[in-house]
Amino acid sequence: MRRLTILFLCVIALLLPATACKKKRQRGIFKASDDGVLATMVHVADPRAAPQLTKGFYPIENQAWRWTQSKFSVSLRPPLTGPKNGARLVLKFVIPSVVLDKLHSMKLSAKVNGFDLTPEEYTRPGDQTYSRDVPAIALPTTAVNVDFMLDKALPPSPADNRELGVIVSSVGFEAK
Amino acid sequence: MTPTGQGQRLVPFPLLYAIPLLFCFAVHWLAIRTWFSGDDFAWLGLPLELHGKLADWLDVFFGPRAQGTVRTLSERVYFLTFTSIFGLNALPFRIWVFLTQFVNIALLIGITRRLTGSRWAALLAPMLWCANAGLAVSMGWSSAYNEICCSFFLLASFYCLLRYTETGWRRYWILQWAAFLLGFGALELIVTYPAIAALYTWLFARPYFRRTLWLFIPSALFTAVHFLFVPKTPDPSYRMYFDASIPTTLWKYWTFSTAAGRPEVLDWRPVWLGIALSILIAIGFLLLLRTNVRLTVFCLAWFVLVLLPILPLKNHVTEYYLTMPVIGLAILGAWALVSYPRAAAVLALLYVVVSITDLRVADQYFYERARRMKKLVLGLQAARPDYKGTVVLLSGVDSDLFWSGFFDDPFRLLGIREIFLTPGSEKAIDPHPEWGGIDRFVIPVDHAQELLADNAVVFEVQHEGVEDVTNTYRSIVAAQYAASHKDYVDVGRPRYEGRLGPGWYPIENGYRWMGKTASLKMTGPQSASQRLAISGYCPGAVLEKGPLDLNVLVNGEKVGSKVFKAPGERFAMDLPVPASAAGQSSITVSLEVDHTTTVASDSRALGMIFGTFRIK
Repeated sequence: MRRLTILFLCVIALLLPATACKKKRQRGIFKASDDGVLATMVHVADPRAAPQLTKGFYPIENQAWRWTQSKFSVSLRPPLTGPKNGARLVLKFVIPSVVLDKLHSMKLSAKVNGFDLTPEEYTRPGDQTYSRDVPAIALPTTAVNVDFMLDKALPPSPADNRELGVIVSSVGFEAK
Repeated sequence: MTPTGQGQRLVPFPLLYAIPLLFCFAVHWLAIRTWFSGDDFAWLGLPLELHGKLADWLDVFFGPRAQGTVRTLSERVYFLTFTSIFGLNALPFRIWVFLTQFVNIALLIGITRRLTGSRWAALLAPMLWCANAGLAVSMGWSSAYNEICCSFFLLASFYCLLRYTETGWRRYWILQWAAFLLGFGALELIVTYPAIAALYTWLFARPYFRRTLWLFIPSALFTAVHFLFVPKTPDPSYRMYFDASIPTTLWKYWTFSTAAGRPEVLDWRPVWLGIALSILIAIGFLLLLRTNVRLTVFCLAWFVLVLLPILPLKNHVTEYYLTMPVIGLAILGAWALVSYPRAAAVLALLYVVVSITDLRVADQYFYERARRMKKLVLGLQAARPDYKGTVVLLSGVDSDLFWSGFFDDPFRLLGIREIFLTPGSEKAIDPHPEWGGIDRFVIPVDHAQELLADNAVVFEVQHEGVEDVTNTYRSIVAAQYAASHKDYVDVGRPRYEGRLGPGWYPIENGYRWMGKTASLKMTGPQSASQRLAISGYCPGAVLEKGPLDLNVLVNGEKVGSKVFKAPGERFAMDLPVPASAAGQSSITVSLEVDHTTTVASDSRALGMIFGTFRIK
C-alpha cells in the first residue's frame, strides 16, 4: 500500500504543473475589429494586410517578406484621386541570385482590374521595383484587384516543395 | 536464467518506479501539451452521431470505422467519454494517455524484474522503451492512444501469466484472460499475445504451455471475423503483400526501432549512423544468444511476433506501430546493459541519443501542427457568439494548417455547417489528390459573393487566433468579381459600384436611376461582331413632359437611341459596338436623355431607370 501511495504521489506531482499551465491557455483569440477599409499600400509582412494578399503569397518570412508563386494577386484601395487622375502601381521585390542563376531572366506583367500594364524583364538579381502608371478608367473608388504574372518560376524541388517566384516586400498605389 | 548483480539492492523501491516515470515525462513532455490534430477531429465528433436511438449507440461503439477497425475501448469509449466531459480541452485526453503509460511502465518493471531477476534491468527497460522514437506519435497524438492502451492489455496479460506461473493462483489465469480479451477492444495487434504467452511457457514454464494454446482460439476467431465480415478498405496503403517485400519491411522497422534510422537526413544525424547502429545492435543481441539463449530468443521473438500482422503492409510503414514490438527489445537491451555494462553502454547511449533526437523532432512537429489548428478552432469558438451563420470562409490557410485537420472537419464541432477557403487562397495549399484533394473547400468568386450576401462570415487566420475580416473581404471579393466579369455590369447591384462613372443615384429595388447623363466602364468586345445589350425600365412619371429620347454612346461615339412613349415599359436594347472598341480592355458607355423629371416627393432630376449592360 505504501508503495502504491508513493507511486500515486509521484504521478500527481508530475501532472499537476502541466494542468496549471494549460488552464490559462485554453481560450481562443478572436478579433472583431474590421472597418472594411483596404490599404492603398500593403507591406506584405503586416498581418493586418494579409486578407488583401488574395492569391499566390506564401507565409511571412523573417517578419519582412513573402515568397510568391508565379501568379499572385492583391486587392488594393485606389488613392482618393485615382478615379480622376489615375495612379502609379509600385511593386517592391527581390529576385534572389539562386533563382536567376537557374532561370536567367524573369518577365513580370500585371493587370489592374483586368487592364493590362506593360511587362518588364529582369536579368539581374537583387532589389527590384516594378512601377507603372494606371489609367483612371481602371480605378474604381473602393477596391481593385491587381494580378501579377511571372513568365518563369522555380518549380517545386525536394529542398522546397513550393513553386517560387519572387520575394515581395510591398505593393500598392501611389497617388498622381 | 537471471543475472544476479551484486548491486541489485542498491535500487530502492521508490526510485525503481520514480526514475522511469520521471524519464518518460521528461522525454515526452511536449506530448502532454499537444492539442488535437487529424483523425482526432473525426473521433471528437462521436457525440454528434448519437441521437438517442439504440442503433446509434451500437454503431458508435461497435460499427466498423477507418479500415474496418472496431477499437471500442481505445477509440470510441476514450473519445466519447472525454469529449462529452471536457469538450475541446485536450489536456484530460493527454493526462489519460500518460496515466496509462505510467501503468504500462509499472507493469514492464514487474515483467522485466521477473524475466531477468535484476532490479537494474527493471529500471532500465521502461527507460529504453520510453526513449524509443516509435513512441513519439503514440504519446503525442490522441488518435494513436490505441497503441498505449493495447500495450496496457498486452503487458497486463503477460504480467498475469508470469504471476500465474510463479504462484499457480487461478485468479492470475483469469485476469490474464480478461486483459487479453479486453485488448481486442484496443487494437487488433493483441491477436499476437497467445504466441508470446505460448513461447514464454515453452521456454520458461513448460508445464503451462498446453494451457496457453487455448488463448489462440479468440485470436483465430477475431482474425476470421476480421477477414470474412469487415469490409475491405479500398485504400491502397492498407493492401497486404505476402511477398519478398516482408523482409525489407522488417528491416525498415528494425532500423527505426534500434537507431531511429531514416532513409533521409532530417537533422545532424547522417544516414549511415542509423544503418551502422542498427547492425551493431543486431550483432550485439545475437551475441547474447551465447549467454542466455532463452531470454534472447523470447525478446527478439516478441519484437517479430507483435510486428508480424503489419509486415505485409509494405505501403504503410508507420512509426507508432513499433510501440508494442519494441517492448521486447527494451527488455533485452536492459538485460544486456546489466550483464555487459561496458560494451552495451556505448550502444545504449548512442541509441538513446539518436532516438531522443528523432523523438524530439517528431514531438515538436506534432505540437506545432496541432497548436496552429488549436488557435484556429478555439479562435472560431471564441467568435461563435458574434455570428449566427453556419457558413464560414477562411483566408490565410497554408498547406501545413490545412492538412493538419481540415479534412476531418473540426468545424462541425462548433456548429459550422460549411467552411470554405477564400477564392484564390487555395493556391497556397498542396492539393494532395492522393489524400482526397482540396476541391470540397474551394469555391469560385461568384459563389463567395452569394455566400456573403447570405450572411457568411470571413475570418483571417492569424498567429494567435482569427480575425473577422468580413467587411474587408466584401470589398475584396467585389473587386475580384469585377475583374473576372468585365463584360457585364448590373447597375442595381453593389458589387459593380466600381464600374460606375458620374450621374447615377443610389440603388433602389435592384435598379438605379440616372440623371440627365450617366456612364459606366466595361471591357470592350473581343470582335466587332459582338453587341451591347442593355435592359431597363421607363416609368410613367418621366413621360409627363412627353416622349423621352435616350442616346447611347460608346467611347463618345453614338451607337443607338430609343424614343420612349409608353409608360411603365420594360425595355431591352441590342446595339452594335464600334469596330474601334473591339479588343479594348476598357470602354466607356455613356447614356443621355433629352430631359429629366422631378416628382413631388423627390427633388432629384430623374432621367431613366437601368438594370444590366452586357457585351454578348
